[in-house]
Order: sequence, then C-alpha cells, then structure tokens
Amino acid sequence: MARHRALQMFGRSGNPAFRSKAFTQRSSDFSTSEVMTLSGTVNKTGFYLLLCFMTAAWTWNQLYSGADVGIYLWGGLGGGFIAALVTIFKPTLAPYSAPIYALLEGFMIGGISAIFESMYPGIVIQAVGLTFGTLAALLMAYKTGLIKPTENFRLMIFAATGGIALLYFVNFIMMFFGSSIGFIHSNGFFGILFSLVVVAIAALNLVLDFDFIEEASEHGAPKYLEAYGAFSLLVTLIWLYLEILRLLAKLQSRN
Amino acid sequence: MDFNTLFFGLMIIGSLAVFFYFGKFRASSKQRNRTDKIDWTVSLWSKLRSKKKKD
Repeated sequence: MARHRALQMFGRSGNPAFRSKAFTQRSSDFSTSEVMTLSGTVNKTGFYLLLCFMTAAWTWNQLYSGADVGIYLWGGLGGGFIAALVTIFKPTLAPYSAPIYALLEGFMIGGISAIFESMYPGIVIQAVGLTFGTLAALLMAYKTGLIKPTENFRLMIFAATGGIALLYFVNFIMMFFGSSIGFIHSNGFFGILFSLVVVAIAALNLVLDFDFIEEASEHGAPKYLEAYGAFSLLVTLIWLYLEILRLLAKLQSRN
Repeated sequence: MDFNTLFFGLMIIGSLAVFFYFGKFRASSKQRNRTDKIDWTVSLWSKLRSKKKKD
C-alpha cells in the first residue's frame, strides 16, 4: 500500500511526461536496490535511445528499398502515443511501456527522417547532431548551476508547452477542413521565428527533465522512476529532434 | 565522407560522451543548495489551484 502511494507522487516537468508526488517516500522505505539512481536513469536513457535507433534504421532501410512504410509510420505514431499514455498514467509500468514507446517511436522517426533526407540530403545528421549537442550543452549548464530551474521557470515552460500543443491541435483539426494555420508551416520570417521559439521551448523542457531526475534520485525515489525519467527525457528529445528537423527543412527550402 | 557528415558525426559522438559521462554525476552544490528550487512534491495543478483560492 505504501508502495502504491509512491506512484502518486511524481509530477510533470512541462513536457508531456511528469506528474507529482513521490518525494515523501524516502529511500529508507525501500531497499537500496529499489532506489532510483542517476547512473541507472542515464543507462536506461541510452538503452531506449538504442532501441529507438534500431527501429528507425529499419524503417529508413525499408523506405530506401522501395517498400511502403506508411503502416510503420502511422502505426509507430499511434502505438507510441498509446504507450506514452500508459507510461504517464501508470508510472509503475514504465519499465515495460517505456521500451515499447522507444521501439514504436523509432518506426515513426525513421520514416519521417528518410522522407526529409530524400528531399534535403544531409539534413538528418545535422538535426541529430544539433539535438544531442543541445542535450549535452544544457546538461552542462544545469549541472554547473548556470541555468537554475525555479517554480516560475517551470510555470513559464509549462504554459508555453501547453500553448504550442493547443496550436498544433487546432492546426490538426483545421486540416480536416482543408485548411491550416499558415505560419506554422511557412518558410517565411514568421514561420522560421515560430520554429525557433518551439525549438527553444523544447530545449528548455530538457532542463526540467534534468531537475526532476536529479531531485528524484537525491530523494531516493522508487526504482521504476528511473524508467519514467528516461522516458520523459526521450519524449523531449524526440520532440526536439522533430522540431529541429522542421526548422532545418524550412531554412533549406528557402535556397 | 563529406565535411557535413564528419562535423555532425563528431558532434553526436562528443555530445553522447558528455551525456553518458557527466549525466552520472550529481549537480554542483550551487545548483543543489538553492532556496528557490522546484518543489516536485506538489503538482503544478494543485499549486495553481491553491493560488487561485488565495486570490
């Protein structure tokens, strides 16, 4: 029962993945093997990235060998969304649902990346490089105390992320009526400015993820939150990667 | 191998090395000993709700 209560404890970071409470459950409530650690979370993040890369490479090869990848792309998107919802609302299942999420999202990312690469050769490695570059730079900025996440910072990022999600949702609905919010997709000044803002918000979500992981491991949160923390980091990284890919595509389409 | 692949390939390797190495260390004391840290025990919703009630 005490363990069940621990599930209710962790909250959202602002990206689509953190909820709240679990810090009141101290490490003394669990044996040491059941406690979340920083290195465990980092290792799990690496493992999920590897899973994601494997399925992405598979879809990429399928597309270049001339096969129809529509089913992998949409199946990955839909299945990944379901796996994400399961992970968010049932964090105890994160050790099982997070790897499934990583595999399914890989199918989607591989397809999208291959399509962009066929249009703008060399764009994918640039987007991957910039995504991991941002991850490393912000990690260093966080660890050294250069960026200090506060409650106001969390509120600001949460509001901005919610605003972007709402805008995308309205755009998605408008697409059913043959319309869309123009500047989101345009390669003009406002389109690029919008993409830059979205990339910045996605990147700042990483700082909240780092803070959550750091605090949770320091307070001896339960072990399953390692998978949950790695999952949140992966969600933000995938979002950041797709936004950087879109920004680069907009920039290259101007040439 | 062209310059684009080489440059961004090295960037990926370097960034991942930084993440897997420094990610396992705790943040600096400057980061950990702040008084204005985020209270992750309270969800943002309940915080906003209690603020609204106060107003």
